[in-house]
Amino acid sequence: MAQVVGQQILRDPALFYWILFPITVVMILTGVLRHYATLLLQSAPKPLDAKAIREQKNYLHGINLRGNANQIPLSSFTTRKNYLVAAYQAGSFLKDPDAKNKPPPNPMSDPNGMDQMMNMMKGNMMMIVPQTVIMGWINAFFSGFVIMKLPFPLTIRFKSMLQSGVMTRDMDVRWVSSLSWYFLCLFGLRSVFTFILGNDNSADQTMAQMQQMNPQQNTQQLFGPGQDPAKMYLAEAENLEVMVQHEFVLDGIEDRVLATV
Amino acid sequence: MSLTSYLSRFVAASTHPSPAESLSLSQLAPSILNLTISDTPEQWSLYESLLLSALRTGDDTSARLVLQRLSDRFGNSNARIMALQGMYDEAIATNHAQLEQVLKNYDDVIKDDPTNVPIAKRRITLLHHLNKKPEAIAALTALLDLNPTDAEAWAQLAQYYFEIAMYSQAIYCLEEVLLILPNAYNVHARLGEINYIVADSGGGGGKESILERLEASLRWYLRSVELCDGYLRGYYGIKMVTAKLMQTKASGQRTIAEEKVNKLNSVATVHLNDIVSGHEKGKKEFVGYDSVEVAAAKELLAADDSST
Repeated sequence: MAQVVGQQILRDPALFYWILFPITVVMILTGVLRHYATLLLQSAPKPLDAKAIREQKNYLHGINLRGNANQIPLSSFTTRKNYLVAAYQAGSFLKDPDAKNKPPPNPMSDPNGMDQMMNMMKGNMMMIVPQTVIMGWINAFFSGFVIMKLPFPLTIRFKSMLQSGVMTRDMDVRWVSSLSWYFLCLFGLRSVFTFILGNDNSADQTMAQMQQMNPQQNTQQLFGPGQDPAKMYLAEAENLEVMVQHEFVLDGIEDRVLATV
Repeated sequence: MSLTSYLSRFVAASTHPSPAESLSLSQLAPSILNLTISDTPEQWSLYESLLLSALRTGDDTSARLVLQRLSDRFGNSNARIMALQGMYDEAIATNHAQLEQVLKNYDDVIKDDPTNVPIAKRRITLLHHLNKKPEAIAALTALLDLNPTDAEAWAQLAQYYFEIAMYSQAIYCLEEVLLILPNAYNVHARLGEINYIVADSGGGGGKESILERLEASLRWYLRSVELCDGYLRGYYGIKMVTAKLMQTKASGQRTIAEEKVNKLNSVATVHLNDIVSGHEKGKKEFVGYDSVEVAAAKELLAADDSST
């Protein structure tokens, strides 16, 4: 298979106005529309009730104590440590203390988890539905069109990416088919959306995928649906208990200050 | 003037503005209200600051207007708006009975939604203001049981305990603040102050001796200037405590040698002198100091000079 140098194909300039341009515009508009539709469908995260807040913040209290123990005198630290360890082990901060020894509830039956899942579903639907529709539209109307030529040469590997829908073995890789243009737009418009809609838009699907990767990041909940707070509290109590080293930051401060000034 | 320039004026104002400063800020109200509403976070935080300074200067009409716009945007059921509304109600209340009524409203809100922290804090402040100090402290401890990682609440509780001379409780609360904000040099200095006061008032009845208290106070002050090496309050405290330490002939084991105390005293004097003279000459790096604090430092230095 010899590479034909300077392969020429006569294209109707109308291809540009009636295929390339419409696909691009439609892709951008769908992105914008999807952004606003997602905003509309998103339900605000349910505010936590007092017990859940108490459970979370008291857990953080222990972490703070562990992290900044050196800031306070040893006696103050020991008092707090003894209190927190006892309270943690007794489970007195737990949302419902009776559930301590039960297996963790099924995340599917947890109403909080259901909420999260519903949100994820909505997000996915916002991705899938327009994609299917547009791809169907392109397949029905524009399949098989070669609509543009890239201004730079590419290796043969790119053929499947740039010429989907056009089954010609010998055509130069630089030609782009309409279906491939759709895919390029789908994955490549991210910076355009950032420009139009600002930084955290939900128009682009790569963003949505990244959010699905770590759903914990954006939620304010410390304990995920599958985790057992009772176990986490016990672990934290143990962490506090094994802390033996305490170096009070004020020890020797007079020498430090005298040395610097 | 644009939105950002207004905002920077509010940000530049100190957290406890003087009456004149508040007045000049609240006089901006008509021109800020004439700006087009742009629905940006900056705009709303500007409105919030404007509301506070309007209330401070008694400009209730502007406050009403600003509050109206805020509640139009965020709704009356937003916790923060509710707190601002409560603040407005407190400000326009003219007698004790009206304040009691506001307090009752707060109680109702808290009963419906115990997680409404802004209203809970307003309620505590109002209780304290109405001289129901035990209730205020009880409410604040309940709030801290709900969320022990709220530094603001711990600091406020420390203040309340301090006012009724429960010093060891106040120290405990401030230590909690340090667990959350380990680099808060003002809190370190505050701990130094309270320890000093305890020592001054005769040891506070705890197991620590006066000497230990004074040394602890000195260390807290030293930490505050270690964290912020231009902190007037810190140097002022060091000077006070070291002077006291040099006078005390109290028995007990000193952990900070006397020569070091002397040296620290002179270091603090030098720094205070620098700050006072720099502030008076209006040097650029000494601009941010509170003039009242500088005047106090000057007085201390003068008293020191006359005694030697």
